[in-house]
Amino acid sequence: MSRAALAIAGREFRAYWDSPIAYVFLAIFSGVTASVFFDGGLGFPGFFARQIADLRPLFVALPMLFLVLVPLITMRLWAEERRTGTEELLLTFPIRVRDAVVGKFLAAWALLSTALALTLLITFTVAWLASIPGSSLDLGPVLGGYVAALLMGGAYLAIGLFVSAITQHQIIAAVVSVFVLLLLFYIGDPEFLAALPEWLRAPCEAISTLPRFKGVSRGVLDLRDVAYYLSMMVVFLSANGVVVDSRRWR
Amino acid sequence: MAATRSASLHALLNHILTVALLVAIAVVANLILSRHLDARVDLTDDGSNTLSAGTIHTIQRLPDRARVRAFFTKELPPEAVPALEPALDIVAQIERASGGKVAVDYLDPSKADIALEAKKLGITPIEAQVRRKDRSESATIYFGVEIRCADRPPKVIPFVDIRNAEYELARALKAVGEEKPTLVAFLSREPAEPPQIPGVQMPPAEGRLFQGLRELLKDRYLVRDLGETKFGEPIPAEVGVLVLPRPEKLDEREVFEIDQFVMRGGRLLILADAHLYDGQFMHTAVDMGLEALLGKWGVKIPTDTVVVDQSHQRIPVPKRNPRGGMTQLFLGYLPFLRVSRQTGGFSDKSPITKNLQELSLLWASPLEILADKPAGLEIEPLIQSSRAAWRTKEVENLVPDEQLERRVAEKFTSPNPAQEKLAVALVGKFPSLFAGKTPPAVTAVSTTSRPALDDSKREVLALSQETRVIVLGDSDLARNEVVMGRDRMSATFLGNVVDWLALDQDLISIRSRAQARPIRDLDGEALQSLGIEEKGSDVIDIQELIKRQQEREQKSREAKDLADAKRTRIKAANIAGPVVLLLAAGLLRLGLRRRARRLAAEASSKGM
Repeated sequence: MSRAALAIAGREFRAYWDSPIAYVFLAIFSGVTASVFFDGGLGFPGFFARQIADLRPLFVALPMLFLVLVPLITMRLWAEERRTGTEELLLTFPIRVRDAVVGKFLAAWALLSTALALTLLITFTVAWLASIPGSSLDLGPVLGGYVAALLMGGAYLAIGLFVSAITQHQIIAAVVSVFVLLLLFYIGDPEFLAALPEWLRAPCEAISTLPRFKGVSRGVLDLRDVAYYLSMMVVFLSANGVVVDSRRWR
Repeated sequence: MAATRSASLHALLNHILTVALLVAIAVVANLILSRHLDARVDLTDDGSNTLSAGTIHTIQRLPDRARVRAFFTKELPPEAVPALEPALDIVAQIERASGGKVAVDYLDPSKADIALEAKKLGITPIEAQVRRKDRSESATIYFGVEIRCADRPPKVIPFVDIRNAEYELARALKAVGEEKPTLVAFLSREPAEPPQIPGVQMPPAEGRLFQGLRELLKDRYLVRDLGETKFGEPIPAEVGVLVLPRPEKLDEREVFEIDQFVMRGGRLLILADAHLYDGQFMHTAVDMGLEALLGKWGVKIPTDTVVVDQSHQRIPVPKRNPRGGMTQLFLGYLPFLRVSRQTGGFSDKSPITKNLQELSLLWASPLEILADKPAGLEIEPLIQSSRAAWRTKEVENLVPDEQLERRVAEKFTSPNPAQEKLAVALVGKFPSLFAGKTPPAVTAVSTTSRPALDDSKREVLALSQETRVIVLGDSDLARNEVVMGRDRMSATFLGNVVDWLALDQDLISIRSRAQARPIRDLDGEALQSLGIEEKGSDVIDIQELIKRQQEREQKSREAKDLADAKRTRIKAANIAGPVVLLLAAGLLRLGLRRRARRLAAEASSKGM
């Protein structure tokens, strides 16, 4: 990774904290996550009603919560630059487009990791409540869940970043990102798949984000899922580079 | 100008094509990977998503190729997918791990001909209510399998138990792979089993109190009743495990045959009750007839006491409503013992109990390990009460009324609470109660409608080979309504017991896995914080106990409020904690930025 990419990542990450928006988003995200976990929702009863020492409801909820959080993180990254005209300035610097894309991506990923770090309080609480004679919280699925959440968040961010690069309006970028992520999510839904012709089901299931997180909430990290997330990141970051690069020469 | 526009258009098309190509590569790569890359990491500390060594061992020992026909509904309702997915995963894992020894054919019974075939095999679907957008409808779900191996009789699982799929499948594979399963025989005075109508599932006949246990074991073992007429006759040599459910009035000859069965290396399970209570809590003392034999092996069951425990279950009690009519109250019932891991109720050393979390015993008799137990025997407690348990001689009136606590407390054998042994495992070489004696004569009770036995050439064995016996101070946990009920813990425990006796460690290792891990009992902690000990070892006298019991009832509502408040605090801390942290970080950053700006302004004004 180049120094330029890291410098851009640092600048972008600091920029998030210069406005109250990041604080508000993260506060809402952590509040909603804790509320869903303890009060129940998304097919799970609340933690105290379940009386089971695991974090499955959290990891089941994250893919859906990310659908909203990620577009809010990525919407301004390119769209704002284009609207204010700083994109042209950025591209005149002696840096490669690749560095700019990776830098922005890393900054967004760092913010998402901060959001995930805020949910660690839930993990500590469950670990404390599970520490009774003869039992404890199984940390393997928890660790796997966080790794998978980071990978999934990375894939979502790459998609959001790409969408942000093709428009100059933040709101449009956010709405289109939510739409694309929802589409990728629901094309793996069994009910949706059942309505599709047979030949279309396998490709839809292969690129959907929905079936990916099921195993990890049980403590299974499938290398196909890891490969999927990495491929999504590579593809959409590359596409992002292509889009930005095309404007450089226009 | 036109050339520039054409070049731009060309570049744009190029980029669109590049993006489309990248997406297409991602789709194709993921399609290929999803079909051919089969590597995963099980992150659970007990490997609950990976086949256990017991299952793999069972597959490896199959004498021939096994064929599994899985009658699974293909288009599952979305609500059912999370519950059924782990079981589906296990079927796929078994096929992969077998290296071709187990072939799975997936058949979808939504097709009429396959549904008919499933029906012929006894594979029945369940009807589930599912939501479809704006309406609720019924969905039919098949989840049964038929397993065949060579020319052995096939095993059919009508609907795979999704909570314990690996165990059920491994057990079925073991059953079709074994040339001769262990024979588990029941020696009881229950009425004979009525003739069965093929294909019709009948409720247990009246008086067959342990039919559910027999059914539970039938999937894995050959199960046979020796019947009342066999009392006093030698236990057949082919019996591997002998079950004595609620032994009663065994005469010397019958005890002799049980003794000699163990001397020959047979394994024995005794479900002993010194007192019986019916549904109206009416008491009957039981003369088991086994006291001398158990005493010889170093175990005593006091016949005049039952165990009551501060760790107990609640039972529904009808109560007259002052405003008329009846109402049902759930009252704590001291003789309904709640054995749990939290109160140290299970042995961690034994494979039978090391993964159990909770079990209920009703009107249990305490067990004692005698100081002069035989040297060649190891006796290990399997199940114990909490440390706040007493023996009471109030055995006759255990009616769940407001005076029960006073009645049992007044007849405690000791004012000190203690941890009582409720089940023990004996391993080693057992001495015979009849060593050096001649076989006792067959009495009138044990000779009903049978020719006389010729004992003249009978050799009395004095010492057994290495073998195993389990004594449980309660038979109620093996009764039909418990074993066949919703709570699977009794069935799990009894299955483990018989597997251990039948020397089948593979199945024990599979069955006890994947139990949900509990969390801290906040209600119990709240009770303790109010000065009501759940498991203290301090000396408490009878009056003190009664006082504490009354206090407990009075304060239980207060404790519930306290526990609820604690839950609310935990939830609030988790919701508000990060928000406060973010607010503090924001204010800190704002302050730092303002300071930096002020310093910069000062520096620039000085520079001017």
